[in-house]
Amino acid sequence: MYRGILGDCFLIRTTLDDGGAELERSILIDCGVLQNVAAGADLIAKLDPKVVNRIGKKRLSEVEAGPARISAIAKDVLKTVGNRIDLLVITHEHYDHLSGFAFEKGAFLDGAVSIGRLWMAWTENLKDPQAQVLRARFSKGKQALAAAATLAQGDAHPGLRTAAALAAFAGPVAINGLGASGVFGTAEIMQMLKDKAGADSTSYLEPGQVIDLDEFNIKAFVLGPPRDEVLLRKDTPSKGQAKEVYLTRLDAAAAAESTVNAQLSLLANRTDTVLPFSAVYQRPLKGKTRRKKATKSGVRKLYDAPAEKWRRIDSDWTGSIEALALKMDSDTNNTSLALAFELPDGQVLLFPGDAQVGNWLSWNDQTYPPAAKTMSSGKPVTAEDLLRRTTFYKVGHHGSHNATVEALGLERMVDPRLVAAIPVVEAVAAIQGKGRAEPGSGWRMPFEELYKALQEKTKGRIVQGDGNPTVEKRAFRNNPTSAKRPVKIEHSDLFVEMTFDLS
Amino acid sequence: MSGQYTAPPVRRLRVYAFDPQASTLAATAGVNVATIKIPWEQSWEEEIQPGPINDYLEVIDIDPVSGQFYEPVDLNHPYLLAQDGLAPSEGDPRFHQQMVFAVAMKTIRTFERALGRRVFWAPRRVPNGRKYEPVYKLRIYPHALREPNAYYSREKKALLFGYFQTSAHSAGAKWVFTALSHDIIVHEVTHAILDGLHRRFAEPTSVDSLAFHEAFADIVALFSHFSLEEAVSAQIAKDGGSLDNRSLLSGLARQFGEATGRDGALREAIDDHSGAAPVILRDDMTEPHERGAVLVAAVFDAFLSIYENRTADLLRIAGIRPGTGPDQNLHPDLVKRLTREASKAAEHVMRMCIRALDYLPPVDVRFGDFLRAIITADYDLVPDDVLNYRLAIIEGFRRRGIIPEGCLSLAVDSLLWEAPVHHLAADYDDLDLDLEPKFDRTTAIKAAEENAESVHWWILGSESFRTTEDKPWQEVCGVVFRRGLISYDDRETILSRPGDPKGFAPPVEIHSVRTSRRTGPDGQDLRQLIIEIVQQRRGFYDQNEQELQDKHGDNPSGADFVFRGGATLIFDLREGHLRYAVRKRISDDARLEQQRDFLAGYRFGSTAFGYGLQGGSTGTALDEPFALVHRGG
Repeated sequence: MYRGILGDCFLIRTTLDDGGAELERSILIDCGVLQNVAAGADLIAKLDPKVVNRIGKKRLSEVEAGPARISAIAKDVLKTVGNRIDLLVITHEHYDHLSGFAFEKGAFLDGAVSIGRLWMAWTENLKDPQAQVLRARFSKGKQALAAAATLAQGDAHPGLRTAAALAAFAGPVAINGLGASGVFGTAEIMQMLKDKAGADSTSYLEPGQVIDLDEFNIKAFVLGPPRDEVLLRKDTPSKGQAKEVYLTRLDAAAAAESTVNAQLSLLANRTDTVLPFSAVYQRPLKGKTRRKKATKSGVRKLYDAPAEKWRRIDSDWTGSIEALALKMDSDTNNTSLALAFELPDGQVLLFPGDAQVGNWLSWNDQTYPPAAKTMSSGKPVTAEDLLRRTTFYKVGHHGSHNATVEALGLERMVDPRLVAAIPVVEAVAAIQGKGRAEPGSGWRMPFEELYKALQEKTKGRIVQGDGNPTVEKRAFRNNPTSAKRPVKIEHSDLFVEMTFDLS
Repeated sequence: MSGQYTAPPVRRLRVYAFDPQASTLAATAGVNVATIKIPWEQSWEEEIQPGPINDYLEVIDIDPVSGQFYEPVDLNHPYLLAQDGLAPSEGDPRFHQQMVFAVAMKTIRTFERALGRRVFWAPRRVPNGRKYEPVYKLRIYPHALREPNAYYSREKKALLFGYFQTSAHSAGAKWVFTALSHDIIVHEVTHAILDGLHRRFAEPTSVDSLAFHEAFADIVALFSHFSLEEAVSAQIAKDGGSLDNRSLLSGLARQFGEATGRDGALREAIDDHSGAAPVILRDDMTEPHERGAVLVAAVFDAFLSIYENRTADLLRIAGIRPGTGPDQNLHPDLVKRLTREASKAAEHVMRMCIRALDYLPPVDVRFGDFLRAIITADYDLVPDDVLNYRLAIIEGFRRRGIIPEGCLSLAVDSLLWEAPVHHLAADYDDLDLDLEPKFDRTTAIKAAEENAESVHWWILGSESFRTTEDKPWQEVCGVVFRRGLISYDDRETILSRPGDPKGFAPPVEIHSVRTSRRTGPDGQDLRQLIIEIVQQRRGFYDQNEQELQDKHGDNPSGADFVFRGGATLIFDLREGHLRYAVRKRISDDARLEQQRDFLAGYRFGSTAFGYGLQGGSTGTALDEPFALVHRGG
């Protein structure tokens, strides 16, 4: 795992004994960092002192600027693998999983680098009819959110800040100068990677697939994303989804777009605002009025009265934008390609991307391979079985509250050798969204309750993007995964390396 | 008004009977304009101001998204007085103001008539303090949002209506305004009224609690349709005297439904007749609107059977078998009579439901409590149930699987709330209540507040309470007044709290002290005094922590959630004694456990996966609890 980023970049290297010679192969899973992360000193200068105090000046000052860090990481990846990525896995179309490829576009897409195969989820296949429908539904919301992000300037309403912070997952958005944003949108980066790998080497994986990776001597099981749309959209562990909510989604996006456009026109003093009533009835709040009226009407006075300030509704409209942003963000996370790699001795490495509840739940809906395709030899594997044998868990969505399922997920990981990796920088998460202005209301990553459960399960064997190497090493030393061949960890400035010895 | 002329009895205002869409369809255009009559302001009431603003409501038409502040409608303008207000028009914001105002006022009057007293809005909690201050006027924003939604904001004590553009042709408009939907207005106003009556009902304490709010708002909206005689008679004529087919009457917010991609109304009170089994209440129905729909269907079923009872004779006389098809041409006089019966039945059922509100426990309401409240309230006012209304209600609930807990059977007498164990009265020398009816609204609100303070003082400081009365009252109310009074009830989670670890008398809230005066069909005069008393207890997600904190008060820590108990006390003012104490005991550990389980599901999801909705990185409470459609999802 590469460290120091709020984003995912995992490199798996297998070493095979090929008649005395050591044969090395590489799998790269994602490479990206969240947008708008400036260097610590710049962050501290721009943030509210109260926020800085709450998070801690020291922790913030250690934050490295996102673009610089991910560039260094990308260069290190290419150096380590000798410009050969045997398998590149892209879990989903979010900036914090992709931006490395954009910042080091030259190096990655350079002729010198070769990509053996490229894996993406079926949702990324532009020729897949179901994926096309999903895509169409998304694009409208995306436009609305990108526009909303431009509204989130200065002392914008917290709801808009949340929306802007989430929009930053999807494309380049500069939020009030908190660090640089990228040049490319996520869709462009995806396309660049597809072009580089070539259509013949690109596979769009389906849930239930089992792929023998002979050259690595491992097997890959495709857990998600599901084809079931209900599960695909289930992102919070809430109960009883209302049917009606699904149907209003397009309208919600359209409404958000219309709201944002109206606001943008107002801000720019343009007159192209689409208004519901004809000119006869229009009475602009600000600026030039058609009819000069010196006195305010009674209702206007009532609305403006200082004692009645608590009843004003100037920014209530932001609620719908925030809700849409949250929904869109979760929906994309749910399209994560969730993979389980089985090592020759039966251990399983679990990489769920940022899969949310619906994606996790769907893993139990099929066997591996799917029942119909089972060959006579051997019983198909179940998700439960894979979880039981999991010894490495890449914690989903940087350890957030809604990307690790409890009863049907973590609880089933019962192998005593379990270790976990959380790709997160807490200080960066804490200043996102509303956390920029309100101490303590940023993203809670990792989520405390989940972290506690993970600690219990792994006996403290957790590595974290901003973890203290001494503490992490001590945990692995004090509670070795096995007496004979324990998992070893090694920290460098850029990464933490775990070695699973299978000899 | 001027002294030379007598003030007119009512002010007439035109509105859409359903919504603008109904005016574009040939079948409904003829019945879509209704005229609402609201009583002319009395001498003690404020005159209607442009807005409109009156004693109850202030309509403020600011549209922040579009950057507009539309001019307020002046209902006292002679041109408007001469023609029942502005003619229905989607394009004139002033008509929108007129319509929300008129429909909201009509709803308020409906409640006042049924309850036998004034409607008050929920008081506002002053930030950074424990004080509440009264809210005299509910605020209405007809164009607050640009989204397909509308809600009652508890924080602002305001109704926010949205509007949006739609591409659905069936909506019959490019712009859809929720402020022009009769049903949506009634629904949201009902939320506000219910919150004023029972402010703890908005707290999620069980799957039923929020669903009840939604269901009740839908019930009132639905039965309001039946006061529109033209629409009802058109439907009756069309369906040969029967009302049990889906129609404009049984659906809610049709234009909104179609504009947002549904195939018809937003919600329906009648089961789909395409062969699906009737919807029955299940534990896994947890979305408030969905669960509430079952309660609505139960009440609607009851209404249909009452209507059939009331009209069986008429149809027999006319030689018609009901529901034999739309091809029968009913005699116009018969249609008129049937319409009157339908309107009456609907009005009666709606009143039964509204009156039941006074008979509900102050916290943690369940659907079953509602059934018992309807039955008891109706029994008190109409002891002789010749038309079998109560049986029809019971049957409706039974068919939908809504069965109250802890009742011997579904017979009327087992559903009545039990009489209290002690014979108690509210006439103490040191309890000073002002029970004179007040006309002026401000005075009435102030008097209600003073009464609540008097009761509070009486419990805390009076001689009579301390010397003799506290124990029986504690037994009856199910809250704890003093440490050690009834040792069975003592829980440190009630008595001690972080600021006051050795608490002797835990705080109690007196939510309302109100009198009501109702008249039954045979002229019975029912005068009651109703007092709501509520207490809180510290709840913990962890069972062991709960037990520990329940026992030891040495080091009380905060709480994971608030658990409430309390009672609605109903006094008969003619006889002066306590008639019912509808209570949820604060020391009820089983109920606390239920709430904990519910909250665990609410926080963690149905089968407890995931790690919580609250406090998550993005899981803030975004939704207004009373949104018409919950955002995001």
